[in-house]
Amino acid sequence: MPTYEELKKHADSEWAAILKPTTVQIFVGTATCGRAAGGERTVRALKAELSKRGISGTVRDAGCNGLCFAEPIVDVIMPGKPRISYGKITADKVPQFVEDVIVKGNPRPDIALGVVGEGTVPGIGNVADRPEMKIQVRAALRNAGIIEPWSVNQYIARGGYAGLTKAFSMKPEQAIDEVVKSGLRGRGGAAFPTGTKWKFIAGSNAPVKYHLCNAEEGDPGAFNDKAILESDPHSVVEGITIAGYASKASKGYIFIRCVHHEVISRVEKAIEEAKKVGLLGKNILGSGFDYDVEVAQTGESYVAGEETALMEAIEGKRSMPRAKPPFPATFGLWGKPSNINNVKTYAYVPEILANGGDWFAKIGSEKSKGTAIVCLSGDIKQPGTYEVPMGVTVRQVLETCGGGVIGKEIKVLQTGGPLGGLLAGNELDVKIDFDDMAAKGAILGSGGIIVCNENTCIVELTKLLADFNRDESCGKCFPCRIGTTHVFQILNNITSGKGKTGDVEKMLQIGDAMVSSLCGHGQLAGNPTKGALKYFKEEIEEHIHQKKCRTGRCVGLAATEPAATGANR
Amino acid sequence: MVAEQTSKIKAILETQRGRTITALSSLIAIQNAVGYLPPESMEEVASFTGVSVNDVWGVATFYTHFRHEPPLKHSVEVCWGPSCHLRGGDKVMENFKKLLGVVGEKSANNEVSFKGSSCLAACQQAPVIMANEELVGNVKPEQVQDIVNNLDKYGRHH
Repeated sequence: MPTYEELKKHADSEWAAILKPTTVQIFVGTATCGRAAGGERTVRALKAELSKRGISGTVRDAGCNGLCFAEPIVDVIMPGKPRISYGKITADKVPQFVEDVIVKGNPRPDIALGVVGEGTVPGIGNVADRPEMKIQVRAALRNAGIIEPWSVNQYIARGGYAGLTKAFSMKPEQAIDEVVKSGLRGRGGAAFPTGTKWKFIAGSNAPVKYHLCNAEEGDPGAFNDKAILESDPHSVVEGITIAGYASKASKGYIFIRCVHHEVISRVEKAIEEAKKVGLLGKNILGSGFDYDVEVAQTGESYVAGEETALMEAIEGKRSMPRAKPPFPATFGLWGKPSNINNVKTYAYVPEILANGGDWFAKIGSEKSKGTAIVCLSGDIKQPGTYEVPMGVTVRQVLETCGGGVIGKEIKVLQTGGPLGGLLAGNELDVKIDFDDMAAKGAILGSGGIIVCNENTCIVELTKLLADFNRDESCGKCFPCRIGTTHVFQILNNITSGKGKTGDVEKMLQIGDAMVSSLCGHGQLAGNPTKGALKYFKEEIEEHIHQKKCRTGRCVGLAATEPAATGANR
Repeated sequence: MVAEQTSKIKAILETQRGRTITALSSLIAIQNAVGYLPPESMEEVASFTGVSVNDVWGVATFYTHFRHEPPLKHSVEVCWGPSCHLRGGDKVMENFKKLLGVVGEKSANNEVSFKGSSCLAACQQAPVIMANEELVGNVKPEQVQDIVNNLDKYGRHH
């Protein structure tokens, strides 16, 4: 098997041939956001147009560069020219696009997003200088949107597998120390220090130990895990391999919902490519370390993202949580010591090893090191995935990256998924940081921020979250199974004019009772109601006592303000 | 027919060799290949994985994406998650239900299977639907009629 230096040399020459090509090279954003915008139709149209005109060139898939609002994004590298990125190239625009940019060689500054990487083109700035990119520090998203996602050579050419090579030059304990030093905290929601967590399984002498990468990202409003896996799967494969070496584990599983066929296919292709060149399997890079990574698929179930439910699903059972203790680090998958981390957490690890823990610890705020990968959606002009240093304010991200609210003003932000919290529109100067956001009752969680403008009825929004929590309760613990249903029914009554005195107290009481559930789903299911009552008690009581909905969203209730005209809806 | 179906299922189960095989992985493999879980699947999966038939049924009825009837000609899923809802997903949902004449999980003409989804994972392009496995984003309520009329043109490999 080749050494790392040999792999790097080969990868560099392959990547150079793409960046300095003899025929046109095209990358199209076909991650989930790109596909939903028609990216796959754009790929087919580009291939057809090139073949129709007899132009030789290559059209490749790329991931998501985070500017999801501009999808489908098409990058073009003409011979002797820099790489230029273009936004909103839907299939219908392809014939004209090919005519202008490729046949006539007109770089079309009017539709360009910017130059990617080196080089300059008159009238076109660099993508990195766009305000929504300039504020970012792209660590976990370092390759997203730039490379063909599953290509091991393109990943290596951009510095990939240097972290693993570095780890192999250290003792496993030293590799863990590097992660401890970085201050990395888990990005799945609980924010537990990653290095400390790895020490739990590293301390066990069991012959079989597992690393489980949790990609069961079911939170509405969170899409960064799938973005990473579809854009740069090797970063996660390398991260979980380093984790395996550091904690002397034998196998890694990447756990993905089976309906996300494209995510699965990209990760599996990446694993295959890594195996082929000896970056997975026996005696990786001559280190003596054996490791395998496999995709485990789950069925559709939100609770499968809970760490013990996840292990049940990998074992092929219903994804229902187990009682703890025993904790996964002692009794995990098939009873073996197991460590579970989120996709983002593993994706940081190669960079931490390659650049040193100190490098990562310098980014971010005092207690939340590194970056936050924020997903913006809802009433926002530029929805997308933005990786910002911890410590910037929510307002900066919404304005600089998100381009501001659609509508008049931000009424509320829903953060951290349907079990997360709410942040009122007048609290936007809070820092993006695990602790600062938690202090405001708005957990950062997995990074999803759903923006709601003035037309949002708070009761309707809360009902929607309650409906999600009811729908996704696995049913194992009765406080959650019955409680989530009951809260939804109360909210449904309130929005249809059947609210009663005592409803608010009852919902809070149920929320408290659900805390006795085994997992976070029930324990946190009272959060949406609690958050709504904290900021919008008056609006909820109007619904209950005066049978009025100030936004006019609740059908059958009188509107105290003019109903939304539909312009923003 | 049944014998043919059974041997097909056996062959599908075999394709999992070399990976971690469980009742869930087996059911997923069958649905991916056949489009649904034929009734014969349960016993075959039970004997292939050594899990009881009851437990296989338990898994097959727990995860919401498993289908127990053959797929119809077309499928439409509409997201009702908060991001989609805020951008008009409720109107899109309403129009689909009305125009397809949805009863339960099927259209009136029995050609389209219909499902509300709590998250289609493309909140950036809300409101989002999935037509024959193709994600379609930024759907306007007034565009629904056109999608319904042209379902033949949707799918990932057209």
